[in-house]
Amino acid sequence: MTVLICPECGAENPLEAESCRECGASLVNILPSEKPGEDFPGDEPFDFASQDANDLPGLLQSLKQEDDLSTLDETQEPSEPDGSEEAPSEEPQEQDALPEWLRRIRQRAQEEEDSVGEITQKIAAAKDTLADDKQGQQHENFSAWLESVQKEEKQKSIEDTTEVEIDGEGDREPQPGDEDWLKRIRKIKGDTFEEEETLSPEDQAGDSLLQWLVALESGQATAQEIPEVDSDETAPEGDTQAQKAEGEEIGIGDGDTMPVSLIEPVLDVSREEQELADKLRSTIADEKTARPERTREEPAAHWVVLLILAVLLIGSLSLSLFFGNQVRMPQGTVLPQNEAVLDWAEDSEDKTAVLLIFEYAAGYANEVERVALPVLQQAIQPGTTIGMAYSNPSGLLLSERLIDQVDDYLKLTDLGYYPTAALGAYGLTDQTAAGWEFIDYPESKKPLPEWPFSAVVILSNSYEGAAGWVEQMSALDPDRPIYLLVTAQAGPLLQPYYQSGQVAGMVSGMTEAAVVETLLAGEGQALVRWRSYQIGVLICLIVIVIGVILNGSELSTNERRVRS
Amino acid sequence: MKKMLLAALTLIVGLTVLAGYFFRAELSPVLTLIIDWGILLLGVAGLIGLGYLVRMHLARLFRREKGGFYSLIALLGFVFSLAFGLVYSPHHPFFRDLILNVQVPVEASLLAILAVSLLYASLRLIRTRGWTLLSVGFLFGAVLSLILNLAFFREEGNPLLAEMIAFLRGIPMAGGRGILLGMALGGLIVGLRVLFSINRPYGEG
Repeated sequence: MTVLICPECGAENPLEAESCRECGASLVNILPSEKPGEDFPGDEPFDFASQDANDLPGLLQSLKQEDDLSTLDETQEPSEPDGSEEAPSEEPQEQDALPEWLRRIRQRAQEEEDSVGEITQKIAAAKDTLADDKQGQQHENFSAWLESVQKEEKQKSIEDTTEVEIDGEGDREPQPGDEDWLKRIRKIKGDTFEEEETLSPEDQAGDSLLQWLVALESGQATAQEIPEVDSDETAPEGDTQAQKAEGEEIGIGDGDTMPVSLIEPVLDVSREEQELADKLRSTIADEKTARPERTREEPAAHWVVLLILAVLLIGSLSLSLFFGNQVRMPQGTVLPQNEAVLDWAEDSEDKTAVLLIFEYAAGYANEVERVALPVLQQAIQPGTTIGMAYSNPSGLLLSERLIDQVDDYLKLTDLGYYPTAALGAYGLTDQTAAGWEFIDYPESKKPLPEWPFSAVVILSNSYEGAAGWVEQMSALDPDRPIYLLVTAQAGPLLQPYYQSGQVAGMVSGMTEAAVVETLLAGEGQALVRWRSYQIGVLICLIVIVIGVILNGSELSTNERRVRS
Repeated sequence: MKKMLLAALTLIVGLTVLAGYFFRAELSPVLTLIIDWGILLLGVAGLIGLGYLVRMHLARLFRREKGGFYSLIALLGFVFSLAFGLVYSPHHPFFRDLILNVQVPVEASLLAILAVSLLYASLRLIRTRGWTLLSVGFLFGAVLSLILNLAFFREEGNPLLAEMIAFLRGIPMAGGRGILLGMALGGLIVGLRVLFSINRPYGEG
């Protein structure tokens, strides 16, 4: 069959195709070629197994039938002891030596053609065929013919032994874990394997597959790898024509071999694939090339620079906390979200109950406290009920630390710890009076103060935690104002919630905290800390700029050196 | 059978909670029950994690493995915290100061190390990535946001500067909105996949 082979991807296409069905490349002006793998006579598949092996499915099916038959024989055996008949007259002495049950089997085998089972018939037929083939080949010389005659005699004796042993129990007991089909083979073959081991390989050729399977299962034989055909030996380099190697043999057991025909797979390599293979080969060769170990060269003054930098950073930050005048923030830096918080804090209306959510870790406590304290000190009045809920394990301790700095005379209600923000927000907000309830269901929640709170204030250091509370609360109770007092890290991602109206106001980070504190109290801790924060950020900026310039110039020098 | 049962349970619970947003009065007791169970299970999971951690440190200590000394310190800290928490209550000022005066500086120090690491990474950025548009743009954005955050510029009486600063401050918001939209869509898809048992985070995936 002729096909069009794509020059780009090597795919086979029908003759009438104008473009490749795989890659779409044009097939115009491409000459048709023979389909690879079909120029061998017989059109046979690549098969290492012999004919006996190909008959294996039918063999296994016959085993099943044989098993049924043997079961039937076992059930009928007790009813037959009185039905024994006289032995054939041609072998009186041998019949006398044989046991009674064997005589009956032989007699039945002579009377009924199917009594020996299909498997035995197939084995015998396969042996006859094999012997005939060999006979035809070996008649070419006389000595070989004589040997074949001797082997025929041996073959007959083996067949007799095989027929005798068909329904007999072998000495080898089935091992635990044996497959059913293998047990059946062992049951049928019995000890004949041991006898056949003494035969020549030619005599064993018909049964070699079964023997090999049993030997492999019992550990007497090992699976041998199929010998690879070295393409360098069988074909010259670059030759892509199909090659056929005849006369190869593969091991199937201890010393046994099976003649097979090895057909080397067709390798059609395009130019692009060849180039890629060459690149891969060169890459692998390059990787395997021995190179001198590269040692990292650190300048001697490296640690001195680092030490100076650390001292400068720590010293300037520490000194800025104790020296210098307080900073006054400019009015123009007040953001809209800050103004909303300021309005709520300065408004004296309806602050009877405020819900505080503590969603920050201990490491961020100083920053969050600087952000929250000015607002809470202004917003919370004496007599205000404060509900506190936490979605951080340290929330209880952090909340008490913060509340102690706000006012000592607050009505506090501890609403407890919620392992996740979403669950806490849902559980706290969902105060809908249900028309029904579970009878005798234990009350697991602490009694809530009178809902609704006038406002919800979320103190957080992360976007995820604050967003969980905001999304659930704004969905379940959209009219309740939510204010965010968060770190600079969480601020940018939470700002869209303010712009969408889900959050009423927000203060994030030290800079905004300093602005809010300036407007609310005029002075405070946030302003003092903000000076240190400013100096620290400034040092970082200088280091980044200098470092980038130095690293960049060094990189450019190296590039120039490489180019030269 | 087990997979089918888990998938059915997930589907029922998920759809019930979802329906709770629309039929709150009718489903409120069921939702309260589910929420309570969820909180309870999370608490038990925390206890199991605690037990596992203690067992691991004990094993490391008794086997004299490397780092056993640190395991001893961790176990002592755990025992002291537990004992003081049981004797006093978490509301006691002594217990609060005992925990927070250790926890706050330790966590803050780790965050400081993180800041220095980020600073060093920014220094190495050009060396590792070279002078590319991405690396230069990233560094320029970082430096610009730090400068804006310092509030050095006085915007009063200069409307052009105020407009420019407002524009520059709005750029990160655009990125933030993009990230949030992506997270919301991803969350929606993951929720639907779990509801329809395409993903099984509760089982073999």
